[in-house]
Amino acid sequence: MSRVNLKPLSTNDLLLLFEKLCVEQYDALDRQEYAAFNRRYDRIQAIEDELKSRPGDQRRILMKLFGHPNMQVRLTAARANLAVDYPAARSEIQDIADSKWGPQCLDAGMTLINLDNGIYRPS
Amino acid sequence: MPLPYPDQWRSRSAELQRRRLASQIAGDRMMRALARLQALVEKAGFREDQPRIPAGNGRESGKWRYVEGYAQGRQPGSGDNGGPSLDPPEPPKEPPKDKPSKTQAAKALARQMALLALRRAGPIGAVVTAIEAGHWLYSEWPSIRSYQDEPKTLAELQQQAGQRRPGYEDHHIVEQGAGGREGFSRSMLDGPDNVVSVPRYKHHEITGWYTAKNPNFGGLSPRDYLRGRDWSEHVRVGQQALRQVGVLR
Repeated sequence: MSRVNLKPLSTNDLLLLFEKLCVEQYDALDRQEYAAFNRRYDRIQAIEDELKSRPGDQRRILMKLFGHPNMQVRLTAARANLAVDYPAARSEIQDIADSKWGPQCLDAGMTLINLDNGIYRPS
Repeated sequence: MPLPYPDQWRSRSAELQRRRLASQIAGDRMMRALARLQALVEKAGFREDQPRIPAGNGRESGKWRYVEGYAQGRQPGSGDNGGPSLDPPEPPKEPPKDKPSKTQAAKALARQMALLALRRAGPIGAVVTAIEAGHWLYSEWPSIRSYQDEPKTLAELQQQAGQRRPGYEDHHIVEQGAGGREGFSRSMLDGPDNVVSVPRYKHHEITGWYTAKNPNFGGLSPRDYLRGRDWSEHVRVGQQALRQVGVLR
C-alpha cells in the first residue's frame, strides 16, 4: 500500500482520513482481519504525528470525533488526545469502557489500567 | 365427544394447537417489547431539563411539554455519552455470501442486544430484533445468545471449560502460543487454572486485542509486549482482559 504524503493535506482532510481509517479498523476487527487492522494502525499514527507537528498541536481537532457513533473512531481519537487534554480524553475513554461495547470496551479498559500503572505514557 | 381421528392425527392436532398458542403468546410478548422499545427511543431524544407541564394540571402534571426547536440538532447515541445509536441494526435479509460478513452481521446484532439490555430495553426486545434479522442468522444464535452472558467468577469459567457448548469456546488465559516463545510447559498451558470457557464472540474480541497493534504497549500488540515476560505477567494481563471484556467478574 503506497503511503500518502500528508503534508499537503489540510487539517480537516486529515481528520476525515483519520475517521475513515478508524472505521475500516473497526470492520477489520469484526472480520478478524488483523493484518488489515495493523496496516491502518501505522497510517493512523502517521496522521497523529503530522497533526502533532503542526502549529499548536492540531491533534486537538480529533476531539470533534468524541461521541462518534463508531466506537473505534471514538477510542482512537480519545487516545490521540491524552497528551493534549488529559481530563477530556480520559473521560471519553472511561465512557467507552463503561459502554460494554466490545471489543473497544476491552481496549479502553486496558488503556485506563495501563495509564494508571505507568505502562502507557502518552506523548 | 372426541372425533374419530387416528391417534397420530390427534397428537398432530394437539401439537398444532400447542404451537398456535405458543405463537400467540410470543406475538403478544413481541408487541409489548416493541412498545417498550419505542418508548425508550422516543424518550432518548429529551433532556432532564426538557420543559414539563407544571404541577396542578391534573393527570397532565409532570409530562413532557413540546417546545418548538428544543431538540433540534440533537443526536442521541447510547445514552447521552455518544456512541452507537440505540436504533436496532438492519442486518441484510439475505445471507451474506462470505462467512466473515455473516459473522460480522451476527456480532453487530449481539452487541446491539447487549446495548439494549444495558439500557433496560429488556431481553424480549432484543429477541424481537433478532427475529427481524432474518432466519439465516439462526445458525449464529448460540453465539449471539452467549454474548449476553453476565460476567462469571473465574471458578465458574474454569469449570465450564472442555464442555464444547454451542456458542462458547475454550480460551487459554496465558495464550497457547506463549508456550513455544516463553518456554511455558504444555501442562501449565492446558492446566485447569489456565483454560476457561468464554462466549465465542468475546473470544474473538480477546484474540483480536492480543493481535492488534496498540499505543498502550508502545505500538506493540499485547502479544508482542508479553514476549519474554514471566508467567505471572501473562496471567495478570490475561485476567484483566477477561474482566474488561465483561467475561470475568
